[in-house]
Amino acid sequence: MSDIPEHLYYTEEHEYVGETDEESVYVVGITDYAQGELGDIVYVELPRVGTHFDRMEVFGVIEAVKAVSDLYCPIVGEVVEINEAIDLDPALVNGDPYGDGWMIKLRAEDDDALEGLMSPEDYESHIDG
Amino acid sequence: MARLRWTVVFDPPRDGAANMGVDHALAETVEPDAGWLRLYRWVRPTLSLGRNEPAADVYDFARAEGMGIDVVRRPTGGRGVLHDAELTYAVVAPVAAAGRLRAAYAAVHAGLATGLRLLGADARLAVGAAAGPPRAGACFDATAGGEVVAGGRKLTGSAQARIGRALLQHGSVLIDGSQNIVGELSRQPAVASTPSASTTLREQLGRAPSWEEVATAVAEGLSAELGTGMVGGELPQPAMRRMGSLERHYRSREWTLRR
Repeated sequence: MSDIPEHLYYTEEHEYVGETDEESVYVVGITDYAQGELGDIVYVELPRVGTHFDRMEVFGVIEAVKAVSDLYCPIVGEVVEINEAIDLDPALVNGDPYGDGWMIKLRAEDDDALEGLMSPEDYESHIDG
Repeated sequence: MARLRWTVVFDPPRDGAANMGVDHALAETVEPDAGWLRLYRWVRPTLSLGRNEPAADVYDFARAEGMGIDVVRRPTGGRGVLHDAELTYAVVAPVAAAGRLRAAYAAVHAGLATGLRLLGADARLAVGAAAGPPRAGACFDATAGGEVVAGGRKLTGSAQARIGRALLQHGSVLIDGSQNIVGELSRQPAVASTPSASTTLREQLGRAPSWEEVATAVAEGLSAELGTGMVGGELPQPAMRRMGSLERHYRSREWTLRR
């Protein structure tokens, strides 16, 4: 059973978005379901701070023992911080995808940054379907 | 994946960039109800690198050139593979139909094992998983859970990538020869190959079957596993139109030496 926290928003491609203490800044990572599907994660390629992304533009790459997958940016905005810890220890994404395994923080360009993202209930239906 | 319309393509030999371009193009253009099995080979011996494998400062590219070995970087993960006396397969399917990545991986390997048993090899699926970072080295040195082994040694090596809404899984079935060259081309002794880690159909059968014989058996095995009614065909036009620019991408030094 995958962990789907109630306070987060989700994409079909298995990224999550969470609010932070700072207004308009959101944290992005991959879901517990996604890390479980990929298996042991061995490499994560993240963008540079300051890079701008459009919605669902590829922001990075994740590689597990055998599988490679692009990472899709769920919101429009600029990267303000990346999680350098997962560069040294990619297994953090497996161990704590919603905590120490977060990937990037973005400053959203739009006021309605979360519009169009899935609720926890919708995401649960998505992965069960 | 059983509800997809499956087509098997027995593709003529191409060089490394073209082979990667075709696999990538099939993934980018796959229709929601279609699945593709491409069986292919290489015009010259080719070292393929994993998408994120460190290589620029690791492999001796001049030496490879001197030995007549091409180098290409794959869109998929994993480590270096020497494509020479082998059959290469690619399975392309929409993610929505392929289901869970691990299930797709297991289904493809079950089909490969079935096909190789038709040839007389004692092909089984490996248990357990060997994890490791995408460091340089020979793919066939490490066996991951679910891969096809014979006599406890690796007979196939496979890797997956999710490209847009498609799943690409491709890999090698070793017919003859040795993967030791991957280690010999490395400047790092640590990645030198372990000869006993892999095996070939020649070792398992006491003879080297032809590419056509292996291709027929693998197609039969995968057809039984992925979906009955798999028909023979040609590469689809949308993929043929797309492959030119992707081939240029895989031919670029910028891509090959990205790490």
